[in-house]
Amino acid sequence: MSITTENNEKMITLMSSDGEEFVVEEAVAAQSQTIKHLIEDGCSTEGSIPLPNVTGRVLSEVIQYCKKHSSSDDKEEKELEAWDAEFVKAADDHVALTDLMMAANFLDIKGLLDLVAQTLANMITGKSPEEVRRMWNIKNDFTPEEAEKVRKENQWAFE
Amino acid sequence: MTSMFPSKKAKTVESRRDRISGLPDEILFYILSFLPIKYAVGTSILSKRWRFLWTSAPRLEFDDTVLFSNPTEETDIHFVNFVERVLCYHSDAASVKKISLRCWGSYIDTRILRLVYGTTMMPNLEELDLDFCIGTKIQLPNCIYSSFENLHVLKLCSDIQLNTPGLVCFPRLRTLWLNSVRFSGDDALKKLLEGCPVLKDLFINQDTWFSSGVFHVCSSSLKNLEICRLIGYGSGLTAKVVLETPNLARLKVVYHSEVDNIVMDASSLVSASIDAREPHRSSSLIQLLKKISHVEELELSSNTVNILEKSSDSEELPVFHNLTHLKVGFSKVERLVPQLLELSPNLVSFKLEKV
Repeated sequence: MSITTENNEKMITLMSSDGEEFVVEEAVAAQSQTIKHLIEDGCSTEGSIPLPNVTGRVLSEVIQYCKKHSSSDDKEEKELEAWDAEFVKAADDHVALTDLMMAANFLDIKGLLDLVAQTLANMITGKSPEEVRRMWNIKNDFTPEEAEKVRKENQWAFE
Repeated sequence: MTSMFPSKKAKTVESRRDRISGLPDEILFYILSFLPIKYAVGTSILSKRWRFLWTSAPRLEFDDTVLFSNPTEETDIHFVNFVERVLCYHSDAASVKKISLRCWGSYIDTRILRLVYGTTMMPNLEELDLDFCIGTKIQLPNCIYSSFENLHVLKLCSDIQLNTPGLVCFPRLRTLWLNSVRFSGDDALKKLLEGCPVLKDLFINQDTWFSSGVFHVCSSSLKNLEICRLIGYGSGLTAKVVLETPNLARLKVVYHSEVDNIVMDASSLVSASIDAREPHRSSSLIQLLKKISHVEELELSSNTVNILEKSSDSEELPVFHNLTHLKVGFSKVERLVPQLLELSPNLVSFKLEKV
């Protein structure tokens, strides 16, 4: 069923992989190119779009982002940047940024994808390989000889 | 809890999983493309999964000013060897979309040519950005002008000499940025533009003139043109700008000294911005304003306003019938602004900008 609000905004329902339903304005959902194309192709005739790759917890963060970005115009760029920074910090407490990154990629939301990629990149900058491994639980599976070889190949990057 | 950061939440089994290494290659490339190259390369030591990832990044940005704070001959050679290796052994040359190469090391000299050749190995390049400040002018090899069918953006800066060859082929180039490059002949720019049939934006910051004293821009597709730092040919001599750009919509001109006049067909112009410096003559400024009096948007810098204000012939200013947006740099203006407002009967917005 498609629902219409008082101010005639068309609403659609997004269903997460774990069955949670989110009713949002079409303009908000259309921030996602993937959803936009699904709507254009008439895949939301029942008013509900299943998103089998995104959990409810991640989807709720994504929707927060889309709501903010569909209601702001370009003039508020500075304010929006500050909001983005806060958003990604808060999201980091609720969901894994890697999951958010996957969702942004699947839903094709360029702004969110760039935001999370930049955040993850910033987390690497200025850290030693050991610190990065600890931060992300990356297991060092090089033998000492292999590690030495990699180091030699790109020596200047480790100086 | 599924936080990636054990410090924030109780260290459950879930949170100790290595989630980042589990991301698909394309997403990891994407993250790496946001990193300065030094850190992107640094990820090769993390684990086997990461070892060659960075070599497939679709955007390659090299900047020796970031890599080495105290460049020596040794670091410069390191840099050239490294960039060359990345370009020559990139695991997926067809996926490279952008190369940015910024070299300011004074020991690099003509070794840089090896890197310039290296860029031509990326057949699908969309953006090429070369910025050399190495104390010697580098003449770009002829193959640069015909190797990039998909190039959208070309930016050339500083120690680069353009000796445009007979064959120039940039069929998709939309943005061309020439910052303080040297043209080797009067027709070098003309030949370059002829090879760019869909060019929309052209930025030229030019500190040397052609020997003829005429600066000639000819492009039928051009929409936006910005010319900066126009310097007259020789001291005291005036020079001429000729624009054969029938579809130009936006023009921005920044003068540094006297330019005799701008010859152009301005009929399609919608927006203009003028920043003149003394000793620019008010008469040629007024001549230009008359030519572009039909624009909808006009911006005049405070210097421009000062020159017009001082001159006795400002009563010759035209009426701006279509002008809806006027922006003026703040200066000690007394009569010019009221006069401009009076000459703009259809003005919607007026901005007085503080310098």
